[in-house]
Order: sequence, then structure tokens, then C-alpha cells
Amino acid sequence: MSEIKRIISLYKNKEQLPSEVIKKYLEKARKNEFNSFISFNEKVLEQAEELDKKVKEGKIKGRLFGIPVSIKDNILIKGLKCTCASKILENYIAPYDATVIERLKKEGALITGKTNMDEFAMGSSNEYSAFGPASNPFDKERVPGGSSGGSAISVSADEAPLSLGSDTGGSIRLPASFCGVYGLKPTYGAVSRYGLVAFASSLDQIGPFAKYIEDVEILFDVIKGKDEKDKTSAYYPEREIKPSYLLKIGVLKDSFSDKVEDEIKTSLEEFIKLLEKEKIAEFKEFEMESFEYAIAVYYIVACAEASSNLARYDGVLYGFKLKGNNLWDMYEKTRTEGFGEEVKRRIMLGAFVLKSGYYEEYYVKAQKVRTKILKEFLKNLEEFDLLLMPVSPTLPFKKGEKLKDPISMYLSDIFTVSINLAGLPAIAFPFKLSKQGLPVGFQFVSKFFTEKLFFEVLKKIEKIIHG
Amino acid sequence: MNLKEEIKKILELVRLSEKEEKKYFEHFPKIIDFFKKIDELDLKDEKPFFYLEHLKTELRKDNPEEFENKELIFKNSPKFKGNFFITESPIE
Repeated sequence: MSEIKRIISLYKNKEQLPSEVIKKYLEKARKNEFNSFISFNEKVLEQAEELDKKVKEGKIKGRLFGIPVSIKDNILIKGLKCTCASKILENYIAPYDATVIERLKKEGALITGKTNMDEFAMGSSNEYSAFGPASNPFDKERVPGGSSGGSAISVSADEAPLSLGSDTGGSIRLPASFCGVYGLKPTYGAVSRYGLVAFASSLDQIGPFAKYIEDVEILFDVIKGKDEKDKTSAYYPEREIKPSYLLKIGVLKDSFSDKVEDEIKTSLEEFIKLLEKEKIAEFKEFEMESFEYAIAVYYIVACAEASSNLARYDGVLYGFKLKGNNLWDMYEKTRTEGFGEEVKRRIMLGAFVLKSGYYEEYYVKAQKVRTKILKEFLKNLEEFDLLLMPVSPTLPFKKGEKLKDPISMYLSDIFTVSINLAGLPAIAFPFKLSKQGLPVGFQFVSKFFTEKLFFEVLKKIEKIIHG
Repeated sequence: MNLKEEIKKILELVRLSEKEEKKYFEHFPKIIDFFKKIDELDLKDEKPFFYLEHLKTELRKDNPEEFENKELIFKNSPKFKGNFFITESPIE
């Protein structure tokens, strides 16, 4: 199943035109029922009409020809606002395209708008947005997950068939799981970060959202690969990956701990039994000593990098500015008013762990644990083809539930952050709905640059689940 | 230095108003305590993470280029003249 192929075949058979398809999605998106969009691309209809001419002439070219795509509001699109859901960038207009946007445009994609998110991608619920919280399409009282909440909603609620988000500690996988769609966090370096507003540069990766695994694969193929403008991007090794007849999948022991909701544990057992019954895989539990330390390590490393990356927002370089009695006062007023509370908290935590006297105690130690995390993952990936674990220890929680306790919010990321720290690829996939009708999903982790294995295995699983 | 003074010092370092101190004092010590959890691990044989092996450090030549989209940059500024931004004085 592929929404991309279905839409392109409509064009090839001259059953619909790109402008008709875009109108259908935009109509839904503009209602903004779940507050998933921050702004829209006002020229998209004009751009779709240009493609209409090509359809009429039979000149359909490009892997994403006439396919609507929504984009998280921390990825630059030339001429459109890029707010990062922050007051400090509320009027910032991007002067150039991010590399992923250039690649989408080259393949004929139509960018519909910019999606809601936690401010500067710092959050797990999409409640820390200067443009208001977004809602889960399955239950509006609940969060859609964050930070790429708007992107996940837009795909889940048929406001766009595809979306791009960014994942620093689970920001693609968590909302994908909470909204019942696929979300891929690629290998670090597989996708260019040029034009992605930096949060934590050693962890950030751009990745796709879609309802069908084949669409995730197509979108990933379009955006991946070396970019001269991002020196941390890598040449993606093209090699054939065929899953073995009976996969060996390791299940993280902590997936069944007391900290995980019962319905997630029983669903995971159900999923394992299904794959065993279908003779797709055999399972064995594995342990990671460093697992329970990953949250602390992640918040030390990510906050340290954020405090440096966000130093540039001072009222001089970008839009929002408040006047002061002197230059110092202007900086303080602008940053104090311009940033939201969670962003300020993380900037302060970052400055604390980097401060003389604390640097060795926190930052250097955290980087040592990071090495340990990577080693443990690689050791387990020698034994297993894939690793399996939940995306979140809970089902989508109620709005406001975790806002007063930052640590409890941070713990939502317990199953996702270690993978970013190791730079490995991971994919969140939907499995079923809970008794309350909320999505339950899990994630696979694999070796560097083996995203293809996810696609092949999940195509089989998708067929079994959906027929 | 106690934590209250430490928070004030950090607010100054990151250019945030001292008035914010009360807002952060409630959670900051708890989070710092939470960070200390990593002390439980034996790390004497571990080296700090530096970079992923599949990524080579590359440097490009510093070649000056003409930026062609000046008009878009100027869109971010309310006033400009020629190639210069006109800004208000940052101080009152």
C-alpha cells in the first residue's frame, strides 16, 4: 500500500489533477481542528496548477510528483516563516531552502505548510508551543506527543499524506506512536541537517512520517545522502538488504518493567506471538546496563548543546527584540520574553553542566556513558538483526498531566533517547488500538545505515496486520 | 556557592533576567539531582564519546560566494538602505 503511488496513478490516468488533490488536503488542514499547522504555503495552489499543465501534457516526472507534504516548523523553506513555535522567531522568514526541501522540490513535492511543534523541538507533548498545544486526533483531550506533534497529526488526520519532522531524543517516534503512524529516525548523518534549526547538533536528524511503510521508504530515499553543505552528512551506502528467513529479534528486558503501562506490555506480547506464529522472527530478551541512565545522559548532552546553539537569539540577529537601558539589558529582556519556560530551563541546565567546576562532573561523565550506550547497542546488534521495544512507557497522556513535573515529562522519552545518543536508526510503527481507542506502537532499532531492513520487515508485518 | 546563587549566576551567563530565579528554583535542584544518577556507573575504562566512526571530519575551502537572495534577508528587517539594515538603537 502506498498513498504516493495511488495519487501518482490518479495523475497518470488523468482521473485527478494536482490542484484537486491539494485542495482536498488543504481544506482539511485549514480547518486546523487539532492545531497541527502554524502557517500555510499560500503559493501551493499556484504551484499545483503548474503541475496540472504537466499532467495534461503527460509529463509526469519525479518520485513525489504532485504529492502534498507538510513540514515541521524548524525546517527552512525559502520565503516562508520558520518560527520553531517560538515567539523569538515569530516573524522570521527563511532566506533559503533546507537541503531536504530542495530534494523534495526536485522530485515534484508540493509543500502545504509548517506544522506545530514544541518550541525549538524541546518537549514530548507538543504543549510547549508559543502557538498553543496541538491535540491528539484519537482524543482531543490528550497530547499528540512531541516535539513533531503537528507533523504526526497532519498525517494521522489526513491533512497531508506525508510529513517531515526532526528527532533529537524521540521527537519523530513518540508523536508517530501517539498518533498511530510510522515515524523514522534515520542513522545520524544519513540525512542532511542543513537548514534544520539546531537544537542539539550531535543528536538532531530529519525524518519522514507516513501512514504506509512504502511511503516512508520513498520519502527517505528522496531526502537521504551526502550534502556538501552539511559536513556531518554521510555518503549513504547503497547495498541490498534482504531480511533472513527467520529474523532474530532482541526484546529489551525493560519493556516489561513496572514503569511500563500494562496495556503496552500485553500488546507487545501479542505482537511477539503474532510474528512467531507467522514465522517471521524468533525473539530473545536482552539487557542494557546503561538503559536507565540514558535519560540523565541525554538531558545533560542535549541541554549543553542547546545552550550553545540558542545563544544566537539575542534580539540583534533575528526578529523579536525588546528595548533595554543598555545592550546587556536588551539581550536579557529579549531572551526572557522571547523564549518559553521549557527552553529557558534547558538553556540554564546546559550552561550549568558546562560551567567550570561542573563540566567534568556532568558533561564529561555523560559523554563516557554515551560511549557505553553505543558499545552495548553494537554488542547486541551483533547477536540480533533487530531490537524491539516500546516507543513510550505510556499511552498518549492527558494534556497538562505532566506539565508541572519536568522530570516526569522527560521520562516519556525513556525508550527513545538512548538511540539518538548512539546515532542508530529506529522506526516507530503502529500496531493496534488500545481498549480506550488510543494507538499502541513499538519501535525497531538496527545497525547503522540499515533502514532498508525496517522497510522490508515492516512491509511483511503491514500485510499481516492490514491484509 | 549555594544553588540559589548558582542559579542567579547562570541566569546572568545565559542572558536571562534575574527575576526568573524563583520560577526555576523549584525544579532545578531536582533535575540536577536526577543527573547525578550517572555516578552509579563504573566509568573508569570508558572514554568520552567524540564522534561516530562512519562520519569523517571534513573541512571545505573558505571560498567567498555572492549570496543571491539578499531581498529575502531584507524581508526580515523592517528598514534597509542599499546593502545595509537600518536598525533602531538597542538602548532607550
